[in-house]
Amino acid sequence: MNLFPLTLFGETWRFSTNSLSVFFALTATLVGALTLLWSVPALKDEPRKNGFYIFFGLLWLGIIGLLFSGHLLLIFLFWTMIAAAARGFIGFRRTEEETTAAKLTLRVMMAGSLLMLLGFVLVYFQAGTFDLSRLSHIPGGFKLNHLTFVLIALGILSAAAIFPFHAWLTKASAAPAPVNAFLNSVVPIAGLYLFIRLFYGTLMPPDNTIYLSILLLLSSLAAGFAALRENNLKRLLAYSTIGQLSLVYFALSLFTVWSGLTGIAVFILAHTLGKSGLFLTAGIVENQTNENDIRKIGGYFKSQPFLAGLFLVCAFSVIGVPPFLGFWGVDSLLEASFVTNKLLFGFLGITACGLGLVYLLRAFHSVFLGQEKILFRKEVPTLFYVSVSILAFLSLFLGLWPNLILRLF
Amino acid sequence: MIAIFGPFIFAFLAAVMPGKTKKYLALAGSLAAFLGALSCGSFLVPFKISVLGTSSAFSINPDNLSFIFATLIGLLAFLATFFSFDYIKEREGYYYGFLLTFIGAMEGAVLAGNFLTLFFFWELMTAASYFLIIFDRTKQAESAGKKYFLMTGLLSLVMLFSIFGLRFAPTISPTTYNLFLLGFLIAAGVKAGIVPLHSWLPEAHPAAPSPVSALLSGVMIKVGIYLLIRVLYPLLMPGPNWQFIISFLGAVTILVGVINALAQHDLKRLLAFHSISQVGYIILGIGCGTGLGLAGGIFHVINHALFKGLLFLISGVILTVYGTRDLDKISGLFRKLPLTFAACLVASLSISGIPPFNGFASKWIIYQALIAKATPGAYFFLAAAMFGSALTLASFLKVLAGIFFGNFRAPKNLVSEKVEQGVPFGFPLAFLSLLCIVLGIWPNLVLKPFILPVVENLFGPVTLPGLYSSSLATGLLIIALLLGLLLFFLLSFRVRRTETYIGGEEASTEMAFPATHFYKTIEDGPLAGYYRREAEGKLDLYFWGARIKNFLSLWSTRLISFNKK
Repeated sequence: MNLFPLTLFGETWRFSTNSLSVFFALTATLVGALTLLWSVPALKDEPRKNGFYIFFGLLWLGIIGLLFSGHLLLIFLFWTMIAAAARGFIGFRRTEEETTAAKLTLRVMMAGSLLMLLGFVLVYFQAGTFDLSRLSHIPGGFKLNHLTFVLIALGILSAAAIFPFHAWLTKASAAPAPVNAFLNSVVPIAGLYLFIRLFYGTLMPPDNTIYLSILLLLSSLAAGFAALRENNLKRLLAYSTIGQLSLVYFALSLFTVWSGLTGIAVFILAHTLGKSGLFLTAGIVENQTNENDIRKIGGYFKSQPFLAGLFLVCAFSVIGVPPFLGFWGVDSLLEASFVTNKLLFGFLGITACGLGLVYLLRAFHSVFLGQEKILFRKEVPTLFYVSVSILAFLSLFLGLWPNLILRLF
Repeated sequence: MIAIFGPFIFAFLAAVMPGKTKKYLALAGSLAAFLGALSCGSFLVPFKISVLGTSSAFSINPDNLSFIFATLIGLLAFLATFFSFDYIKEREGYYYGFLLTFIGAMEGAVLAGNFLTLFFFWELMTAASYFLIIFDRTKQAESAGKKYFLMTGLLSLVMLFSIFGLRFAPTISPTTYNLFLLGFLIAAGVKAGIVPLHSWLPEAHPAAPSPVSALLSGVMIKVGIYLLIRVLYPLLMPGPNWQFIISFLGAVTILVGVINALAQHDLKRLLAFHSISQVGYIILGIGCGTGLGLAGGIFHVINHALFKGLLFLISGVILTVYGTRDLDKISGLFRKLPLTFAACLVASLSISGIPPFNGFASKWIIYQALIAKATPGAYFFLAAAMFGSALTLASFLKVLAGIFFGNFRAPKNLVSEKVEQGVPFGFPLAFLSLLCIVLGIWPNLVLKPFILPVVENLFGPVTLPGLYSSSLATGLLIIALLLGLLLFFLLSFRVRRTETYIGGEEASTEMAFPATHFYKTIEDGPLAGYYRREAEGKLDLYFWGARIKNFLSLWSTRLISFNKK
């Protein structure tokens, strides 16, 4: 289905939809809306809150635009828009630390998008079109060469915060919790979608892309191990995002997991719901104590058992403990690896699960158990609980009845 | 279903209800577990392959192997909960809630109808028992709990690899077969405490409250054995090589456990090492790959649960009364705690495999299975097992003599010894001792109706060639003992009784010489180097795992944070 065909420079710049883009758009909008709901009480006294809402809107628009683009230049346009909006979004409070992080984000993402543009231009020279539907109809498929593939992949990975392009995400953890929730859960959807949209069906990747898989594997393990000794709660969660996303990209980079695409979609949904829930929970703690160091906070289980429960549900869903939603993602990823006889991948997937279990339970242990160190200052606004509860509820409910989602595809 | 959900419902109630009702709710919950498990007996399916499916739906499907384990768990859970009444007393807090969750999860794990359900309950069991181990909130308990949780929780994840492999792999080649079996062996082994995955056991068992130790050692490590039997026997029938590896692990486990036990001065740590060693016998039986071996292994599971549960409860009595578990400090409790002494005597003789107690009955079957295999390896393992049994006796003489004999030394705050006569302490001790004796004299009470059907379904009819008529032997033994007592009383008027003197001075308690000192020769002997390394943690997988983890996370942080510092 094509939306708004616009002919410009002899090319039809069209929007298009498919089941994956609709699914991701719904996810992004739902989680984005819940993040906004959370931000209302949190940013009540923030002098520059208008910047937050404006850049939030632009970022969301960029993601939605990307999800429905059917033309390589439109993709580039929205990708750049995401980069620019992320810069404003991270730095909206204009503190020094956040501005540095925001500038770094802009540089990394813009460099990535220029590489991507270069790749797209190379595609144009070979195929004579930027139109995705025409590219996918080339008989025998359009085979990328290694250079083009690497350029496009680097463009995607730089915004997906994969090692060694991840520094902007960990630095951005200085920004307020809703910013981080959105950056860690919704923004990665754009890159993942683009990777699937381009390399599964439209452009055929070159034969041997093992270098990409190795990089992603290294990124996943390094982020997991680094999270084990990280003491800043939000940065720990950011490392967890890097680790999990690298794992998903690793699965995708094997280019054999057609049967596992559903599983990857579920995994991404679980990550989006769970990770934003975790960041918003961390945000509640930060909002109440002004402290992010897990060695300095602790013992909130007694006063806030409900909050602890929400954190655990989201954490279990992100890691993939049965019967939470994330489990079905892990289940399908492992299925893909065993069906294609990639035992090593299955083993590494489980290792990543194990690392996730350790660092998230460590975070839980130090934030919620033990002695209560810094007391909560005031009443927790109800809206905080409402939005996190919905995220946690969905993680559990969809996990108990996974067919509600699996049937969509 | 009652067996699993009964405890959960009562766990919730016990967590919510205030004050005194908690413990009665807990007792009701554990009773529900026991009766629920017993009631499974009426709708059992025979032991067969299809029971543990690989689908991902939630399912409960007991067969007659799970029935044995579930009933055993229910029985010991009931007694341990009852024992907790006087042991935990006022400081209950969340204790009963987690205890019941733990019980329910164990029942769930053995009654599960597929691997994913089993895995779910398995990890729930780990989590609930973690909170029970750290219940005392001491530093030692916290570090033991952390070690336990990390070792068993994480290594159990390896099981997922095998579960998904079995579920999804289109064909099973020899390589994948070995990998899957190894995955299950690691997961089951870390729970059961097979060397070299055993090092959480001697820390977690002493740290936990005694009734919890009784459950951990009596039944929780048996859930690991259950998984091993389950995957080995109908599913991944091991060939001769795997049989050898598993038996070898069993023999090593027996020796490592018992040699470490000899050097212990902490009663519960000593018992924990004996748990490791006894698990070795079970593994040895299972690894035989014959009907007789499996029957002996399952029977030893039951017997070990009874006598080791009993021993840990006894340690609870001593800890309550005397306030310490240090064998160097306790002595002369015989006159204070006669009932506990009797129970301890029964349990010690059982665990050492002295006829006519139950430990002998099952070890005897395992020995026969090894003899029947008649391979050089089997004879070697037989020798190791018998040697281990002798060392077990040596180690328990230390316990018996150290705790109960000698001059009584009053500790700082001695709790009234009347506590052992209270029903919550007295009943579980008496009941378990009675069971140890009954199963020793009439092993066929459980062997014929429960264990043999499981085994015969797999291996065809099993004959027990060397099963002697133990009731006759026991009768003769009792007559001999009575004659001995008669002689003692008849002749006792001729014996002169005096005070004890040392070097011409009256022996005071300061001069007393704890029984552990007699074992100094062992500690300083040729194995001294081994004991030193063990104490330093150099032989501990956890120690090396932690080092590797620290190394990797340090370098990952350096790599990923672009930080030169």
